[in-house]
Amino acid sequence: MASSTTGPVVGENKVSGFIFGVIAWIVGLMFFFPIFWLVLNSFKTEEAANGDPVLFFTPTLEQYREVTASSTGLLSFGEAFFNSAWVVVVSTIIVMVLAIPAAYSLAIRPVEKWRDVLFFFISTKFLPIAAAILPLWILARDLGLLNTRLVLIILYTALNLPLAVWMLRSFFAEVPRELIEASQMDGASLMSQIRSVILPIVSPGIAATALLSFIFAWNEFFLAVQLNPVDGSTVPIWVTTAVTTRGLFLAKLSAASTLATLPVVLAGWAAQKRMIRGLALGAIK
Amino acid sequence: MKKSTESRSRQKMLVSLLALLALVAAACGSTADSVTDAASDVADEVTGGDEEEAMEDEEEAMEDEEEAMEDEEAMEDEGGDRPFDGETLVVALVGNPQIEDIATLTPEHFTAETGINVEFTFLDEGTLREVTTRDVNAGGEQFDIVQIGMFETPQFGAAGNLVGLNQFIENDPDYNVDDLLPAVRNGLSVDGELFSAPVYGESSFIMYRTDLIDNMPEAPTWEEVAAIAEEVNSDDVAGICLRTRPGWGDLGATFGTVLNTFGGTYWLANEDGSIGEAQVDQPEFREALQFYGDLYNNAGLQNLDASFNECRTAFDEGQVAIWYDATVAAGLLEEGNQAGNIGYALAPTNVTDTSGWLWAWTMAIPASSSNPDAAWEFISWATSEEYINLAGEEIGWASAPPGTRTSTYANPNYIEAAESFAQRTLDAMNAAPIDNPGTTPRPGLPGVQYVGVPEFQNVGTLCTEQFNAFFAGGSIDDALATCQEIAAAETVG
Repeated sequence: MASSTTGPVVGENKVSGFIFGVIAWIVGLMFFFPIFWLVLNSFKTEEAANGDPVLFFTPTLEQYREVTASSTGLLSFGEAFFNSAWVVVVSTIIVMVLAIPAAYSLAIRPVEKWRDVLFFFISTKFLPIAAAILPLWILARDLGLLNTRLVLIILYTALNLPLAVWMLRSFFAEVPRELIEASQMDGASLMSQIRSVILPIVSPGIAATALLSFIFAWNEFFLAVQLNPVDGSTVPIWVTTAVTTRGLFLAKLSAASTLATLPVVLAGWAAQKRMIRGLALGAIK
Repeated sequence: MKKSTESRSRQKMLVSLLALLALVAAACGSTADSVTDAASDVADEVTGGDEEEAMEDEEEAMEDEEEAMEDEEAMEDEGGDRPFDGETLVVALVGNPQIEDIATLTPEHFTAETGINVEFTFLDEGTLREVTTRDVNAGGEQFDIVQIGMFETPQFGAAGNLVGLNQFIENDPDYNVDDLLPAVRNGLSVDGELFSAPVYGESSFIMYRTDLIDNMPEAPTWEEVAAIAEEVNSDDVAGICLRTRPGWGDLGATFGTVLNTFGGTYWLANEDGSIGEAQVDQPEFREALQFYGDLYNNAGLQNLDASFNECRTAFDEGQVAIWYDATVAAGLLEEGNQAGNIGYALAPTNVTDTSGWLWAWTMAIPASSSNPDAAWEFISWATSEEYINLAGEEIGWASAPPGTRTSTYANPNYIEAAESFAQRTLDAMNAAPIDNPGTTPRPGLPGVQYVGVPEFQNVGTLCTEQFNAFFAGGSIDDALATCQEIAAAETVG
């Protein structure tokens, strides 16, 4: 009886596993296809990119050459890349420096009313950014921060901090209490406790959080175009300004977009294993 | 097993790092010849070529410094000719070909002459409006020069948010202000004070296929156009393409001219020029909307999201016989599939004598600009006759900015390149009824296809959404009632 009931279940699992696998592949390919087509188009000539779709063609770096050629008075790829790197790296570092102690105080030694604190953090994300742009713009104007990188560093830090605190708190909550108590009994100070016991355990979570902050800040367009659209601006703004609208421009746009996404893809690829472990760590209680 | 995974992961990190370095190198190269060059630079660095390169870089830097010093000396010698030497202007412009040409020509032809550096920001039309409107009206000092349209210029100017240009023009004998087309100059002025200088201008007219239509009058009525459109309308070719996309600058523009010439209006004007009683519930308004809707449904290209670009493509591909839209389309069509097969007629009328719209993209100086004198230097160059000639010679005569100066239409080079549409464009622009667009006085400032009050942006967009629903099969009564309610909410007094 028992075997007769387990038999079909196993069979079902295999079949459903196969079906789910196929669906996952189809969905995955659907998501990946636009990226694939983007990269493919970036190596075509304008005529080929705008003509009938073909998979095989003679690749050219012409579009990359054109979009990265700098022109006086316009935001160049070099400037935009440097600005983005500066803004994103600095804001991500600040986010992590602030979020790690905050997460510690919420997860390991919960402060009074920590639930309210946590809710307050996430409540700052409730307001759509478009609704906050005017007050932000007025503040930036009065503080003389319009058209500066500093305003983006401050805002990207503020945007990513709540998310980072929430993510890190769940990672910190996973650290076994026994380990912390054992280190306390050994007489470890708070700093060495964090450094030697907690951080090694939550490092995948920290990597995942930092990477997400990095990605969100790197791709941010709205605040950049509203507060700093001139030559101190970032890569997403460069993509819109680097491509001329005269004549055909699909291949050039593809090349610019590929260059803009490359750093994030590379960072994600390099940290892939850590990130998946980190994301899974926070999910399982 | 674990070891191999780890080493693979390390390899991955190394490859990513190298690729990232290549990208950084490409980014930092001044002209960034190509990604492959950058990658080989990285390879050089890895193999120890970095010291040599560093020395080369130093030498280059020293040479640059020497050059810069020589340049400075040369500039000092020139003395007073370059009063704004070394200053920098920040300019926000709309990203379209004729405007982008300005940025292309600036370093060699403006910066080299004046020593003024210009930093350009190109934005799409919607974002540009958001960014510039806020900057101009709230004194953000983000920009020294902003590109605005004929709708915004008189409003911002009258509110004191733009620097008046008359003072500069008086001191700049080279700037031929009398050469500006009178209708354009008028539309950009308040009480004789010019508040922005036009980059290019346009009116609206009828474009039609001469191989399909041979009975289009030079100055047709809407009735005649509708009859011809219905006559040529077939399964293969639609009679006419009309804008249908909601938006005060989309459907609002074409319908606005139809409304004017049918004697309708959104509002009456109070004695002080403020917004009076809403008129959407009047018979003229209904007649105009019914006519537009019938023409769309009986002989129009069936696309409820059509605007300039959709109609342009449809006309170019031979899907429509008539198109009513901006005169600036002519230059683009004459480069396409229908070149040589296109006729042009003035904007159709009904009860008024003329009905074409009037629009210009212009450059203005926000009152908050810290450097209005240098800003004028740039504007006077970029909107001059000299610039139009330069763009014609360097970029191509058909692409020279149209619709701003009388002299453009006397230039034999331009006339040759734009033979088929130049005169019609000029006629349409001169005929545009900027001061008296319909049969009743309008509130606010002059405007043809729009009402010159800030409230129109919102009302025009919300009402055209209702009109679009009517074209799609909805009730005209509902559309008019809702629009009347929206318009009436803005009535003053």
